[in-house]
Amino acid sequence: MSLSRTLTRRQTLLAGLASGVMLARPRIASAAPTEFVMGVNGGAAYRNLYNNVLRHFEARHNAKVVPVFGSGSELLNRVLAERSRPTMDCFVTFQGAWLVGKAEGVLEKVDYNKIPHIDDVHDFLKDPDGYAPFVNFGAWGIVYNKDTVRTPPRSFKALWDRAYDRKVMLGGVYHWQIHLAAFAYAWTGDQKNIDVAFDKVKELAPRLAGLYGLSSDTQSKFQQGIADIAPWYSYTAQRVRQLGVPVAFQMPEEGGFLYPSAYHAVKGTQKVELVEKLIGTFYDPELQPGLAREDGFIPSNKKTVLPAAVAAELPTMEEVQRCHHWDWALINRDEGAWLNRWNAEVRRLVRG
Amino acid sequence: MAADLLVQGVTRRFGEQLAVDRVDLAVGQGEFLGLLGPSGCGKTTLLRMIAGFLVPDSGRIICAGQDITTLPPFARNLGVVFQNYALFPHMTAAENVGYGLKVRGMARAEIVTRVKAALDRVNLAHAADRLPGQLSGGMQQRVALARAMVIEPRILLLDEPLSALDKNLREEMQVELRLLQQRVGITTVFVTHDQEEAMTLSDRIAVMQAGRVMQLGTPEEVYRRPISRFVATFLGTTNLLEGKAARVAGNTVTVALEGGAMVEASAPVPPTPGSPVQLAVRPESILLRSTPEGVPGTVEDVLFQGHRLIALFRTDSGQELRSYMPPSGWRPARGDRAWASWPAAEAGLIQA
Amino acid sequence: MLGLPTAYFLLIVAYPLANLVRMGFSRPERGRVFGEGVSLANYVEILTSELYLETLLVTFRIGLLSALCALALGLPLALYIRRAPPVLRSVIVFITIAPILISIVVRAYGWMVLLSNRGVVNSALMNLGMIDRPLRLIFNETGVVIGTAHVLLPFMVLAILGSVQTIDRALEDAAASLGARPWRVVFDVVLPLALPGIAAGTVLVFILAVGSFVTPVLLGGQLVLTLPMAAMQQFNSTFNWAFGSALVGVLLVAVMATTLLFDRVLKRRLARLAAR
Repeated sequence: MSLSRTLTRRQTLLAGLASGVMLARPRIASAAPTEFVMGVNGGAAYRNLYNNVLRHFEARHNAKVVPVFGSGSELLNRVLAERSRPTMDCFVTFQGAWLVGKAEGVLEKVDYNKIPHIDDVHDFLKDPDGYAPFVNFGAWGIVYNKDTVRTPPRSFKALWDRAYDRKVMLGGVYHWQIHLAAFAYAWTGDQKNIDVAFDKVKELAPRLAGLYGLSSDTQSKFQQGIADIAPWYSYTAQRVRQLGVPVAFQMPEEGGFLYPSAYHAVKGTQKVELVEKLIGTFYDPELQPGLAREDGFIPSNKKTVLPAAVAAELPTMEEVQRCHHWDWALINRDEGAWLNRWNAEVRRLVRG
Repeated sequence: MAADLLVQGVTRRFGEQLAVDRVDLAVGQGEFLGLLGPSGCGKTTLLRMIAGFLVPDSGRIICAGQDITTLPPFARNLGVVFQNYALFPHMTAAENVGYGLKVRGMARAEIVTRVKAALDRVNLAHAADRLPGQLSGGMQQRVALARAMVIEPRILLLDEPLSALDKNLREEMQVELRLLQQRVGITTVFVTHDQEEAMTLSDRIAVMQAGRVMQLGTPEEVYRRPISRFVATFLGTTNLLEGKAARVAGNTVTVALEGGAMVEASAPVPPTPGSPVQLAVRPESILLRSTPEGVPGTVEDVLFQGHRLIALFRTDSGQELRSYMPPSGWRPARGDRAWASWPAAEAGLIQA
Repeated sequence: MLGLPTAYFLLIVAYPLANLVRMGFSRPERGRVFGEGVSLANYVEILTSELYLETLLVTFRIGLLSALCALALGLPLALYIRRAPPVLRSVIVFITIAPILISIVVRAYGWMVLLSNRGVVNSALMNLGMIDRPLRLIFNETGVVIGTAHVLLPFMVLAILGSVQTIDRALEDAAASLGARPWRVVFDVVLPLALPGIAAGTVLVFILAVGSFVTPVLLGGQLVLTLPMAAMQQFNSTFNWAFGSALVGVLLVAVMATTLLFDRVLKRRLARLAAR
């Protein structure tokens, strides 16, 4: 073996080290975190979400979140467009879009038995068909500027009081349909009476201060004093309050509407288990107070204990139990026709 | 000859650079003055100041008795022909020519008549309705000339008007331009870097260098009797002979050349006796003879060029001379002993 | 060699467009964003609906007014930039183009601060006693046109600048030497020769304005409905891709027809100018 004789000790050592590294590489690879592509809302909402939930999710389950930003509608549209080759594992939806996703068959069911804390979660947040349960929710009621509105409207119907002329704004491009359904319920006790809702909105339209768009637009209009009162979400109000805008939430006497959001597994993902783990992380009673304090989400885990100061800012459980759900089947079925009516009849009555 | 245009002590800087330096000129009524010099000598800057596109830093420009130094160009009534003609590309030849009349508010019918006459004068009546892009270079040049002259300007300013034409056309246009100028009798200032062109066209030439007028005189004066080394060499091939002013009587100077030969020359400003001078003599003025008259030396070579011979001659004191001789008559041969001489009026006296 | 550019075109331009057209000609099935069949129903609905025809009109009006405003502001600016000394010129060009670097959302909120009823402009006018009640400058078409023209001004300036910068300075000197005063030089020489740039800028701004979304949403205060907004509502609100695609199709055809018409008229104008 002339070859072995020419090898020095150092060369042997180096070769040994190299083969050791080669052998170790597969183990290093398996220790790298799993990439988890998530469609989420951006901005302050994502910052809070990361600090309160995703950070812990990554640490506990060796995952690396790759965020894809967009509104719930945009994300659903992306999932629909990519249905043959999905690029996201999971994305956030609100109730209306979630029904569209289910009907289009772009969502993957999850195994409720594998979701931690699921037994402690409110039943109304669970999906009867086995798709992802909602992870957090807020209430849709009346948000007003504490500094300029001495006595806030205590009900949706009170928005029609002359005292609030040129102070109220309603949702425009993005939120018109939930206003119609909510007002139909407020005035007649039934969301289906949409003609009444249209009549009442048309009556109110000339006395409105304007319409609002995305959360940033609503926030800006409160800040600039363009309007002082708006039917809006308890949790966005909380988030805006954190930024120093003096808004408060008033639960309407007719009962507000619950507005939950869910993180759904995208059809075709190999990471359903991570979605289940993610949902469980949201339900962790240790993490829920953070979500409540910064994002205004009402705890979805019944066992969560909130500090008194945080609880005082949120709707009470009693108020939540008196809240309603929008009839999304009705809304999704008819909103095309409502949209044309809104654009043709309501929009032109509003003076900016 | 009454001065039609007076330039008095005109100076213009561009930043640190002195473009025109204390220039004085007087252009007589009907005179054709050439501004000649290498690029960057200030001739175009001077022309642009006369035209009103630039304002001098100091000095005055007087036209027909009126101080026009700071008058805007549109109020000067001067005709300008530009290097690339600057014809309006969106107007026909007739419209280009008529533009100056239109701006003056002349009646339409009158304009038509004058434009026609102007185009006739440059033999372009047939091209009246063509756009500049459809005209040859020579035709464009004539349109530009017609356009500048139809407004009956006080003075015609030409900025290298022929430089964009090929050689044959240029010679043809030189003759045409000179005839036209003579016929109309308009005072003309003409900028060129081509010494032949300047001599062909001008009544007088101002040779410029580094912002200064180096010599002003008839073409013959500046060519035959340059007063500076620059003028001598810029205007063509020349022989420079070193010597000393031996005797001065009025404008007549007797020069002692190196090697001892004594020759006469005239100088507008006589040098002090004993000072070193140079004589500039054009090769065609130098006559080589086999009889001992003038400066002795040896023929080094003879080149035959068809219409002339070029003889290379070295004086006994070692100076090299070049002589153009007609092919007829005495023909020197290499190695011949010969004597060089020239008429006193054809030697320029250059003072150090 | 011919294949690659063609493939590129098909992939980048034609394929997405074909998809859009296909969706526009389908009818949504229950619970689906678009269906399989081929139908003219979407287009019939759009073209017989007063609402959508009015929306098309509003969209074009905003596009046209924005283009004219941008032209009125951009033309003098481009002429000024052209005449400015080189260093100053780069500074002004940078200042003109810099807003492109700022989010149009931020700029829209800036306009809100300036133009709203309690905004800077109205406060100033009222304090000066020039008006009794605030002018309605925002949350209507006026606000959208102001904001859109501002957003698109750099495109107008760059388009015009591209064409005025090629004009030989000697042409202006020539006109001046022939007796034309400065304004006359601009009208007789600079403007006719800048016409291609002016036309290009106007068409560009019109197309961008007609297709813009963020500025009309924010400065229109949800009260001005344009076709891109109507299409967006169909995609993001009612998840009716079929109808949304048809709206985009109508907008596309209308814009293309307008642009081609403008181009033809302009070409004929220019040809007549040349033939005169």
